[in-house]
Amino acid sequence: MGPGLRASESFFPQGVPRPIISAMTEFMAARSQMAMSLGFHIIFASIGVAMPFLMATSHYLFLKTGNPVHRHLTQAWSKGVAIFFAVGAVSGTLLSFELGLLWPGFMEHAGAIIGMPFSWEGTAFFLEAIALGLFLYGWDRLSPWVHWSCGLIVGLSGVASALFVICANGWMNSPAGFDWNGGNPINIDPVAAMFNEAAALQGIHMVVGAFEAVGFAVAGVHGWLYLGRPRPIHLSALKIALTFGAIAAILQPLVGDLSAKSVARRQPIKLAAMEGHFNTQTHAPLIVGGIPDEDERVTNWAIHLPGFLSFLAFGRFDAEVKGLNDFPRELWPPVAVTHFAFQIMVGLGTVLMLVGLLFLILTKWRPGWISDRRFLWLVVGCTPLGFVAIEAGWVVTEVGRQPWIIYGVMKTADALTPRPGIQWTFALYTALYLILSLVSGFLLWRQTLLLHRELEGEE
Amino acid sequence: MTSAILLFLFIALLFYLVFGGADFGAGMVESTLGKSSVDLRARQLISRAIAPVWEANHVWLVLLVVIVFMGFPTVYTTVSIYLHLPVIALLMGIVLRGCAFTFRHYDQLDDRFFEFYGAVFRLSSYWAPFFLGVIASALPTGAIQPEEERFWAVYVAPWLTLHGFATGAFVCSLCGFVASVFLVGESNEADIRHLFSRRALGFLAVMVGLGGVTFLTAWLSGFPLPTEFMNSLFSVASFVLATVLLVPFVRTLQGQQPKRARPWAVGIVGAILVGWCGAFFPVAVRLGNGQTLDWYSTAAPPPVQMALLVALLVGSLLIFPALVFLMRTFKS
Repeated sequence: MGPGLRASESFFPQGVPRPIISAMTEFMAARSQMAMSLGFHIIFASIGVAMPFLMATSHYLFLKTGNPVHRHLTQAWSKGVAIFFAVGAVSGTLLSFELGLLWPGFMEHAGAIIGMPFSWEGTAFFLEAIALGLFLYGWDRLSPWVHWSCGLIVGLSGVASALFVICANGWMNSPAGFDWNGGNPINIDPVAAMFNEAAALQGIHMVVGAFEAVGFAVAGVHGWLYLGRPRPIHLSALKIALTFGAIAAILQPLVGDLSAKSVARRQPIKLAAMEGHFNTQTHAPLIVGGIPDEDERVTNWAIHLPGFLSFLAFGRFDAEVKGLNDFPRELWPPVAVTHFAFQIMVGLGTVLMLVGLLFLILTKWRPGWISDRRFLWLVVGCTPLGFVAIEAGWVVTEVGRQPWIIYGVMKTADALTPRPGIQWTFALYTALYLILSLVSGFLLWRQTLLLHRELEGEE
Repeated sequence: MTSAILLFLFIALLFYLVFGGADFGAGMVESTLGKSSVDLRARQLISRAIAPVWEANHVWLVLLVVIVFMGFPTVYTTVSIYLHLPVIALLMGIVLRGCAFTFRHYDQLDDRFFEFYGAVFRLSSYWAPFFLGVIASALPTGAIQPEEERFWAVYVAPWLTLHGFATGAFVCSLCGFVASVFLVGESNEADIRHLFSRRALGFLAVMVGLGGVTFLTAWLSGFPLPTEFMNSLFSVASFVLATVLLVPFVRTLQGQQPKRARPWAVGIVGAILVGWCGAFFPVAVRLGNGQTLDWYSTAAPPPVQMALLVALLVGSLLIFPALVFLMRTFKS
């Protein structure tokens, strides 16, 4: 008994012209659906991870100073948290089913081996949901510091659940805790599976990335609102958000470097694709930008920095870095996509690091310049960059792992559900996510209107 | 060890039916209300009652899914393949309901949107539990046909049955019942209490009727449910228990402290669930080709079960006190 059956009846009767949507293969539709579900969820989940800390900071400032601006800010931000958390929670529920709906071949085996981090994530998420209910509705029912700590617990549980669930993705990249035994896994060790080699760095990289993206996005939104009308609440908000964002943006290249070194060791073909590196060599050049040509096996229009790939990947200029040519063509991931995504992520990460450094320098030596219009416009310009970097980073790690769903063990194509017509469910999910994104965005805009109305009422 | 995990699974399912069910049911109860002044006050009470707890109430489903895919992965993948379509329908309902409720709660600028979110919320409150019932109905009946070749026969026919619809409607009425009972205890005003307790009894009556229809449709389609139910002492005893519990339930519902009706209602739901599961336990899924998947033979290897059990035990130690604190803060 297993997922081997394919219903052989064609989805469309003979002779009926097939719409363009079904030109997409089942496999591509499934991959696209999964990518879209994850891409959507990660935005809302990142907000759920980082935003509570921003909120707790503002709340702390209110409790310590009694400044009503911070109370307004905490309450405005908590509404944002509530909206995003709800959407993130239901999209996460969707994902827990989708793993099986799209990839039963994978879940048949992976479910048991890597289920443990999911169960811990479930616990953390449960605590988060409880703490959020207490925080959002407990203003008048809980004592002030108990109430504040509920907000903090939302954040801590969020971080914990992110770290747990990423253990599962880490396992897909760095399988551990089982002997594959030709498709009948034995000697399953759930603890070894959970604490696989990729888990810790991937988890930290994601959590820091969440703070970076959310910090800059929230700062950008408030910067924009401040430029519209210089209310003190928006400047306070910007400063809190950008502090988190800047610190994260400065830490992230360090974490990223450690991550890349880990990938170089464990998944050399992914590293080669990320870097657009075709020829195995010592003193390998770092390839910045450029367009990989998979047929000619060369990356054109790039800047080559001699020796730096070897140095970054292994810490020595004379280290050998494997190129794509060393691997069978059918095991190559999509090189161009992986390379572009990687360049985008690093490029944006660099920009955010520089803006973050600038902010911290200004805070120390020229605090008045933070409300200067030119700086504010710079911050506004950075609003989406952190999230684009997150999406790019996930493309790197997921597309870069192809054709494997469990690296070196199971191919993605072998995990696919036999159910035909995935193109249609892909269309359905796309429509759903589009609607939800539009409505949440719309809601947030209206929340700012509500906030301004409230503030006006008190002026 | 497997039995311990199955106990947790049962508890998660019961709690999802009771807490998540109450959430879904609240939307259904709201759909039975009009625009009179008492009805408007009742609507406000419903929103106030579920707002702090609905997120936590729905996590039970995630827990359920994780226990199944970690502890019994073959069952998870079988359902994921053959019941793919009703699972998608269920998920759409869950997503739309959660979002509509949240959007309605926070977007307080304009009545038109408020009405729109409300409509989506109420509709999806029926839609999601309906498909829960549809999915459940297809599991023990042997309707799933892995040997078939045509799309319809494999992916649609097993669940698009009268019995499926009857089970779906039954689960809806059960959710409405639980919600109404909880809502009675949320208010101190006699007219509101009366409003909700009438609905509790109404949903209860519908539930009893639909229960009969569920058995009837199963019998008409040749599904083994009625015979297995009758042959299982456990199930018959649970049925009798559920009936017996009606007496203290109705008495406390109409008494001075209707909050006392809650444990009786939970007992009735629990008895129904035990009765249904007990009819074909330990079979999890029965397939049309004669194959059965039972919990014990599809269980994951012992190290995995141990890891799951530890996670569940530690999780319970953390979650139950937190949950009690949440309920105490908002429900007393």
